Amino acid sequence: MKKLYSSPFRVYLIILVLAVIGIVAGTKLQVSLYPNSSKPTIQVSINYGHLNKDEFVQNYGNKVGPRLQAISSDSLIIKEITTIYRKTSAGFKTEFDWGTDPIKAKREVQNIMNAVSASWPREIKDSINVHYWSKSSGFIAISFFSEKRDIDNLYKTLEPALVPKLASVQDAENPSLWNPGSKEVSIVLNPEAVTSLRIFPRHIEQALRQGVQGYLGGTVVVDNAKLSVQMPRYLNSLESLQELLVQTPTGRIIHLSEIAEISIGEAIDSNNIFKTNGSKSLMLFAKPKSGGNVKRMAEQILQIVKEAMPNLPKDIQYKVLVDPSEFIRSSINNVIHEVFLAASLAVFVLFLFVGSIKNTITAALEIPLSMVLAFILMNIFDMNLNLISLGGLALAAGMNVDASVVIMENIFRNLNDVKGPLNFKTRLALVLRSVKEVRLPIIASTISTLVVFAPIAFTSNLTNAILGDLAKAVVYSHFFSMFIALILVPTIRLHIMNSSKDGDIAPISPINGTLLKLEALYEKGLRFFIKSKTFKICLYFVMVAFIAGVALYTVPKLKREIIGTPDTDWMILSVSTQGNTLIKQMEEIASKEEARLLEKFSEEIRYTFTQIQAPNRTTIMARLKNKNDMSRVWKKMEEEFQNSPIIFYWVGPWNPAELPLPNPPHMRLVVQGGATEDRVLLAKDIADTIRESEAFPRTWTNPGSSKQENIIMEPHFKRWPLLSKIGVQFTPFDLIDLTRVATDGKKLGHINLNSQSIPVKLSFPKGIIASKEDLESFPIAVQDRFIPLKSLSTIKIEQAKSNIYKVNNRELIYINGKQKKGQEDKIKASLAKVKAVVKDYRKNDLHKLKLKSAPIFYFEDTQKSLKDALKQLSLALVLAALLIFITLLLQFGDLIHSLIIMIAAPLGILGGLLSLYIFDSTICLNSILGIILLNGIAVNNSIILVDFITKLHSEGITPLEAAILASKKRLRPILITSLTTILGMLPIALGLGDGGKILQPLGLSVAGGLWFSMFFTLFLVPTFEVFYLTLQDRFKAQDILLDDSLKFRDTAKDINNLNLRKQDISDKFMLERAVLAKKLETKMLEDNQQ
Amino acid sequence: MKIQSIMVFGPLLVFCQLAFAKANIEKVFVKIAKKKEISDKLTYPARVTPKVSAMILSESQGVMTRLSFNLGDKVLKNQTIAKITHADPVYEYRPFLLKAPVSGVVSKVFTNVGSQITKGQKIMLLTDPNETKLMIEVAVKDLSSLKKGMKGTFITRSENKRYKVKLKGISPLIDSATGTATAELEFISKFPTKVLPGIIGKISFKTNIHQGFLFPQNVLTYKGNQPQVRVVSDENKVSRINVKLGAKRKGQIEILSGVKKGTYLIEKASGFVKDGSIVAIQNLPKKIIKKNTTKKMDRKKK
Repeated sequence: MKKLYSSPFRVYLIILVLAVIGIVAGTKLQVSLYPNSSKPTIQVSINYGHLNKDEFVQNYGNKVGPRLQAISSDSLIIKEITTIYRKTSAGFKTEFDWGTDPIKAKREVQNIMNAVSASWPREIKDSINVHYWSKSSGFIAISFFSEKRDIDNLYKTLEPALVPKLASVQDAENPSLWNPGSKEVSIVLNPEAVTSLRIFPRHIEQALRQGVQGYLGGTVVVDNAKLSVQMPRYLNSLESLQELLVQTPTGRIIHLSEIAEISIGEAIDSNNIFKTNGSKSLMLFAKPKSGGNVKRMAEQILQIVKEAMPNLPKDIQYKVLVDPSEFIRSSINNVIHEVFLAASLAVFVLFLFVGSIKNTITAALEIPLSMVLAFILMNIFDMNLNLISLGGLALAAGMNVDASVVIMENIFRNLNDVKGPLNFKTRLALVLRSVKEVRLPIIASTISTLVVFAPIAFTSNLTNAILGDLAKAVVYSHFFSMFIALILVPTIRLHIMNSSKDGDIAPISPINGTLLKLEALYEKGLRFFIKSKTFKICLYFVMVAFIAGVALYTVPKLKREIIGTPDTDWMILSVSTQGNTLIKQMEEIASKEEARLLEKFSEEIRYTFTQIQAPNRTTIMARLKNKNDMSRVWKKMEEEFQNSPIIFYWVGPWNPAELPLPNPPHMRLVVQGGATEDRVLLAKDIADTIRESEAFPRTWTNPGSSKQENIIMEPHFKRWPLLSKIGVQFTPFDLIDLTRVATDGKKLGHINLNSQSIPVKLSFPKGIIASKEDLESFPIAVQDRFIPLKSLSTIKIEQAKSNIYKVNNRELIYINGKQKKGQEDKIKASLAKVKAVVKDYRKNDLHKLKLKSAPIFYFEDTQKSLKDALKQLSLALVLAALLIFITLLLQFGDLIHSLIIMIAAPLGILGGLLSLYIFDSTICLNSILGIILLNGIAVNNSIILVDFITKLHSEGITPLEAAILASKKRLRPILITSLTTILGMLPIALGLGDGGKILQPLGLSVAGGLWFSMFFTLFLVPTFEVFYLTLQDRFKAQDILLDDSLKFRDTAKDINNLNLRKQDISDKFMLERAVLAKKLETKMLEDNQQ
Repeated sequence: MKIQSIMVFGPLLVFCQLAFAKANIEKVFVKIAKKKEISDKLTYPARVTPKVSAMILSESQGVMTRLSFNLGDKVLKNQTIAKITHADPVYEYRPFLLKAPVSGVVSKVFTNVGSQITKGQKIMLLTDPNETKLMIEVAVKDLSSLKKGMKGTFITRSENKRYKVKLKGISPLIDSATGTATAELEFISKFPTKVLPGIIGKISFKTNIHQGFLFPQNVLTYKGNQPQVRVVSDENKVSRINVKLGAKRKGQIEILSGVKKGTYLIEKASGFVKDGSIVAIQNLPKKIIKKNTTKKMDRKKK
C-alpha cells in the first residue's frame, strides 16, 4: 500500500488502462430493452396428410406429448406443453423454463420428433416442422412513395436495390418488400367451353407445367467446343400463354385462349395487407426471428435502406412508420440520462457537504470509474445494457461515493490532529493510518450492502431472469467502488497534499451555517423527544397505528405486477372476428375500425399502421402525438372499443421487447375432460353467462368456441366403374379440384414476364358459385349430357368438429377474463362476482345443457407466477434482513445493539410501501428489490449512530448525553450518504423518460423508504440506545452494589452504612460521567470552532 | 331530522339508481317476426337443343356432284339439297337427288362436292333454330319434387338473362351410371331469339313453397345445442326462447316454431344482453314507435 500511494502516476496509469478497457467493453455491450435471458418455446407443426384428425390423434398424435414431456431434465425444464389438433394440422408448443439454452431446447425437440416419427407415413413425416415460436410484437415497417411513379414502377425500382440485401439481415425472419399492387396472371376459364370440352383444371395445369420448364437436349461438339442443346421454356409472354396448347380428353388440341380469358392484373387476394392512414402503401416489413435482437434487426434494415437511397432516383422517398430500434434507443437513452442525472445530483450533494471542488471531484471520480469498471465484468458475464442493468448502475451511483467520503473524512480528521509541519513521510503515514482505520468498516459495510442480493440467487427463475442484471450491476459497480475508495482516493489525496504549498486543511461546507442550525434544531428536538415521556408514548402509539394502517390498508390496496413496461407512443388496437373466410371481409371491417379510431382520436393520433393478418384478425397501430397521452388514450380506447358478440377488441401499448414477460388474464376458469364437443359447448355456455354478468369487460375462450360449419362433398365412389364404362375419364379428385378453381381459384406456379416472376392463377368468372345450390348444380359433361354435380356426390353443410386443445396432456379449454386498464382495483370484486355466477350456473344451468359426458370446471389462479415471484422475493427480503443481522451481531457482539440497528429495516420497508402507495406505483419485482436493497443501505445510518453512541458511552459519558452528542456529530455523514442515494434515485423515482417507468417503483421504494427510515432512525435509534444504555448502567451499578453488599454481609447490622455507600457509589458514578461529558463537549466545541 | 334526511337522501338515491340503471341499458337492433313466402330451390345445368334436328344420310353410294345449300341457308321441306352420281356402271351413273325431309336451316355439312359417298354417310344436319327445347338431367333424389307442368326459370350463364320455362316431361328411365333421369322443358314466353341451340345455362325450380319466418343467422344463440332467440317484450325486457330451426337459405335461417308474428328478435346488440335486462331498441319503424307511444298515452289516461 505504501508503495502504491507514494507512486500516484503508477496508480493513475493502472486505473486509466482499466478505464479504457471498461469503456471499450461498454461500447461492445449489446443494447436491448430487457435482460438477455431466454425462455425458449419450440413449436412443432404437423400436417395429417391423408388422415383425418381423429385417426392422426389416435395413431400418432397421442404419442408426441408424453415423449416431449420426457425431455424434461435438470438442465432442460419444461414448463408447459400445449397441443392443438386442428382440422388438417396439429401444433405442439413446448415452453421451456427461464434461462434454458434455446439451441439445446430446439435440438432436443427435433431429436424427439425424429425418433417418434420414424415409423410414420412419409407424407406426414415430411410435413414435420420444428421451429422457434415467439410472441414478440417487435417489427419494422417502412413505407416508400414517389410523386412521379406508380406503385408498380416504384416496386420495380426498389426491389433489386433492397430485397437481395434484406436476406443478409440475420435477425430478421423473411423480411419482404410488400407490393400492394402486386401483379398476377389470371386465367379465367369459360365455364361453357370448359364443360363442353370436358376439360378439368388438371389438363391446363399439365400444359402449363410443360411450358414453364426449359429442357436440355444433351451436348454437341462443334469445332472442338462442347455446346449444349437447349429448348428454352416457351411461356415467356402473355401471347405465348394464350397460345398454350391444351389437349382435351377427346384428343382435340386447342389454344388456351379458346377456353379462357388471360390477362395480367392486380393480385385479388393476399395473405397479409398493410395500410397506413387507411390506404395501401409499398411497405418494407420485417419481424425478428425467435431469439433475434429486434433492435439490431431494425438498425441493419434501416442501414440498408439508407445506403440504397443515394443510388435510387431522387423522387423516391421513404417514411419509417414503425421502428423498434428508435423506441428501444430512446428508452435506453432516457435511462442513461437518468444515470447521469443521478450521478450529478449525488456529486452536487457531495459538494454541498464537502465544500471543496477538488475534494468533491476526488470522491466523485468513483462514480464513473466504478461504472466503467463494472462494464468489464458485465462483458465477461455476457450481460447487456438494458433498462434493468442501467437501473442498477443508476441506483449504485449514489451509493458508490459513500466509501470515498468516509476515507476523505477520516484523512481530514487525522490531518487536524497533526500538529507541526508536514513532510512527505508524515503525510504518507497519516494517509496510511487513516485508510487503515476505516478499511475494515468500509469492507464490512460494502459486504453488508451487497449481501442482501445473495438470497435473490435462490428465487425463481423469473425473478432471477428479470432482476439478475440489476443485482449484478449494483454488485459489480459497488464492489469496484470499494477498491477505488481504498486505492485511488487516498493516492489522489496524498498527491494533492504533496503538491499544495500551504498544506491542506479541511474545507468548510457552503451550507455550513444551515447545517449548524439544523444540527442545533435536531439536538433540541432529540433532547425533547427522549426526555418527554408523553410525546414519546404518543409517537410510539402513532407508529404502531401507522404500521397497522400500512399493513392492513395500504399493502392490500397496492397494485401488483411482474414488472412495468416502458411508456410508448404506439397504441395497438387488435380486432378479431369469427366466421370470416375471406381476407376481403376483414379488410372492410379493418377500414371501418381504423376510420373510427382516426375520427375519435384525431387530436391524439399522428398516423395509423394496419396489418390485416388473417380473415379474422387485424392489428391497427396508432402513433400518438404525445407519449404522455398513453395512459389516457389507453383508457379512452378501452371505453370506445367495447366487445360485442360479433367483434372482439384488445387494446394495449406496443411492446417490442423480446423478453416473454408473463401477462396472464385476471380470471381463468378451466373446463377440463369430457368429450371434446361437450367441453366446447360447456365452455361457450359458461363464457356467455360470464359475459352477460358483465363481471369482466373482456371475457374470451382459448381456443375459440364459436360454432363453425363446412360444406362436405362426398363423391359416390361406387358409381365410378359404371361411369368409366360409358367413357368418363375424370376422377372424384378432379371434381374437388374443379370446385376449388371455381371458388377460391388455384395458383399454378409462376411465369417469367419481362424478367419478373409473376404468379399464375386459374379461376372461373367471379361469383359462379355463390351458394350451395350453385355448387350442387355445377355442370359436369357426361357423354352428350350435362349432369349436376350433386348427382355425382352428396353435398351437405355440416358443423365442423372442434379443435382439440391440450395443456400438459390435459384436454381443456380456458375461459379468461380481463379487467380494464386503470380498473385493476376492481379485479377482486369481479372475480368474486364470476365465482358467484359460476356457482349459480353449476346449480341451476348446467343440467340444461344435457351433456353426454361430464367435463369438470374449476378456477385457476392466473396470478400464481406473480404471487410466487413476489412471495419468494419477500422471503429473500427476510433472509437479507437475517444476513444483515448476523453481520451486525458479529460486528457488535451485542444482541440488543444489533436489534436497535435493525429498527431501520422495518422503517425502510414502511417508508418504501407508503411512497409506493402515495405515488400510485405498484408492488412488483423492482419495488421489492428496492426494499431489499434499502435494508442494506438504511441500517448503515443506524450503524453509524449506534457505533458512535456506544463509543462515547464507553468513554464514560451518560447514555443521554452520549446519544445526543453522537447523533449531532453523526448527522452530517448520515445526511451525506442518505441524500446522495436519495437524490441519486430521485430521477428514477420521478419516472422521467419512457424507460424510467419500469424503474420508477424501484426508485420510489428506495428513495421514499430511505428518506422515511433516515428521519425516524435519527430519533428512534438514539432513544432506544439511551433506554438500553441506562438500563445497562443501572445493572452495572447494581452489580457494584451487589459486590459491596457481599462485603458488608457480615456486618449486616450496619444497614445505614450500606445505604450511605449506595448513595455514594451512585453519586460518584454519575459525577464521573458528567465530568467526562463536559470535557468531551468542550473538546468537540473546540474542534468545531477550528 | 328523519324526515329531513329522507327528503334529502331519498331523491338522491332515486336519482343515483336511475343514473345507474340508465348507464347499463344496452342498445339493440331487432328484427320483427313476419311471415314470408319461403321456398327451396332446385337447380340443374341445362342445354338448349333444337326441336327439329334432321341428320341427312346418303341413301346410295356415289360421288357428290352438287350441294345446293351452304351452311346457314334456309331449306324448305322436299327441296333438293344434294345430288349424288352413282359410281357403279350398273346404275348407268344415274344421279340421285337428296330431298329435305323437314324445313330448317343447314346447321352442319359433313361432306364436300367431289367426295366419294357411301350409303348411310352423314351429309348434312338440318335444324330449326326457331323451335328449341331445353334438356336437363334430374338427380334421383329430386325426382319426387318435380312434376310435369312445373314452372321454372332458365338463366343463361353467358348473359345472365332469365326466361320462364315449363317442365314438359321426365324420362321414366334412370341412368344408373350418372344417377339421373333426363327431363325436357320448353319456353313459356315467346321464343327468345337470342337463345340459340347449344347454349348452356341453369334452370331452377321453386319447390316446397310455404309461409314461414326467415331471419338472419345473427338472431340465434345457443344453450348447448339448443338454438334460442332473444326477444324483447313490450316493456323492453329481454328473454330467451327455445326455437326449432328449419333449413338455411342464403345466410338466412327458417325458424319453424317458437316465434310468433310481431315478436322482436334481437339481431345486434351493443354488448352482451342478459335475460331479464332492459334494452333500448334502436331500429323500430316509425309506425310502431307511434303505436307504442299512443299505447303508453292510453295507459296513462286510464
